[in-house]
Amino acid sequence: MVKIGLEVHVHLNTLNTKLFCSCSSNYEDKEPNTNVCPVCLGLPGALPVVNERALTMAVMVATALHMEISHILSFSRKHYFYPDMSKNYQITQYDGPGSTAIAYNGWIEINGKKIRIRRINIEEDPAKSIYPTGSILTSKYTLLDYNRSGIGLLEIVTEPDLENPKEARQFMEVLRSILEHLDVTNFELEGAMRADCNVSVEGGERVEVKNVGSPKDAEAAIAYEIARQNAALRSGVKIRRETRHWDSIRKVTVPLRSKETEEDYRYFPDPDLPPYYIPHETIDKIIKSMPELPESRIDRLIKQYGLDEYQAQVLVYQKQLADFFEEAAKEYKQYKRLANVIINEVQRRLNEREIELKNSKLSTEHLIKVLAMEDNGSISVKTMKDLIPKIIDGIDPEQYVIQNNLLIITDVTALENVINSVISKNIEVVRKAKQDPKVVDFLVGMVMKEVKKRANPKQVYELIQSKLREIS
Amino acid sequence: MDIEIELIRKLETLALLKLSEEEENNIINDIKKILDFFNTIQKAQLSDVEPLFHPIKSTHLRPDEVKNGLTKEEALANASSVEGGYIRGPRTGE
Ligand SMILES: [Zn+2]
Repeated sequence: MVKIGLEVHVHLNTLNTKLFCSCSSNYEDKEPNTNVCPVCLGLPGALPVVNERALTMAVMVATALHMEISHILSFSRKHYFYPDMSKNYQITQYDGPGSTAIAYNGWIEINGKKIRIRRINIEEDPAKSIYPTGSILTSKYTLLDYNRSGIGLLEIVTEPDLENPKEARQFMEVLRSILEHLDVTNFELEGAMRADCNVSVEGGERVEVKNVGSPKDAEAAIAYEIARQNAALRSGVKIRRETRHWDSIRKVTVPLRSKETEEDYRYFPDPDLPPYYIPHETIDKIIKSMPELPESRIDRLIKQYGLDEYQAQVLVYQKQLADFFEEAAKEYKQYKRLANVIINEVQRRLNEREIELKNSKLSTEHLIKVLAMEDNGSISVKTMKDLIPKIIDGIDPEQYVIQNNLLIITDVTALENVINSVISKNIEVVRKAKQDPKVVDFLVGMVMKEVKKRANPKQVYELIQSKLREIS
Repeated sequence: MDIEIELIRKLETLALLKLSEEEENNIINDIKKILDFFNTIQKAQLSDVEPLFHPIKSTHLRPDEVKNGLTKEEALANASSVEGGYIRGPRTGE
């Protein structure tokens, strides 16, 4: 039995400001150390004040994860000495005397199974470290940019209820979808979601894998770790409790130096941040104002468009696909077919190119044109599929089809000409075809090849049959 | 509670400090004195008093509105070493 637990960190990067100061939370593309103030630089005497929308977001996420929300917002200091944390403690939440996490005891359902969520902490991000040689190991010093310091984070911790790498990936995908629907995190920004994965196999101790940056990487890192631990146990090596680092380029986990144990962080309630008693009305108001969540959207897609559950889930767990589907469904009413093409063809082609829908040039208008051309018999299924990568690149499908002679040949005379030419070149085959109907299919194949599949095979079959009758 | 040299050394490690033997002995004495103060406080009868973690009852929150912070020059003014706009810190690899 494998036990997997996740600690997922997500940036509250849709906030305007940092967690405890009024510096902008948009730190990308800024000169180093130009998005800072005494609070996020950790200067002595500077006083943190909590961003009220950070609380709103935490309450929304906790509600979406079916959690019990604390009525006190309190913060603790977690002490460690590292260049990225100039005040030598991180402001976070802690379950101890005088302090509490913002929420406890929730769950997410994956394939009908409840994955329990232990708690959510609100905390600040440290500064960004740059290693002059590019490697932490060989750099003689560290360069620090405090622009990111103090950005709000949620730390979402599960119970060890996940049993395999795929489940861990699905959990992160569902969580990502929830956060996107709540508009809490913009996942296009770098480092929006990171996970630490705790993995233990039967007969070994818990190993923590840090620095996992996406659901896909979580699946790969956990699969690697399970294989590594099992191989070690088989050869008689004990699995000790340790922390490892996921190298997403080489796709391996490597050991990290041992860090302080829990008690060495010397947590205590932050004297700079008195507790805030969250009024019941505030929580009620936040819950009432929440946007549609994935669970109810899946139900709605099934009811409103007649999709099956699988289709609705695939679309909603990648919010961009669901948004695109609903936009196209305003114009194109064969909903199940639309969903299938988006899920199978569009998604596959986007994956091949490793781009997100939002970053491609695909428009609902172009996709609808392609589907309509196939519906009215102007193009074949194959052409429809071939057009998907073209429209992802922003090419107009109608023009493309004309310019590249992809329209289906329905004109009988044109088809008969091709058939006559094939027959005249294959007299021997034609003779056999008269006795054996299977050989007719061979002739159909020859004709289809000749017209580059731009004909209806059924029509070709019938035309060949009548031709054969003529010849006899 | 006995304050042993091992505890001081552990705290040195955690705080990334290296103290001289003389400083270590001084600290042992200081910490003993501090803990004695707390031992006196511990004797108070408090069984029917709720623990208090902060003298202020409840704090206020801040609206999510951006305000200008420090200029780059101000931000870097107190750094002992600067390189290309970055603050230079110690190495972190082993
Ligand atoms: Zn700041």
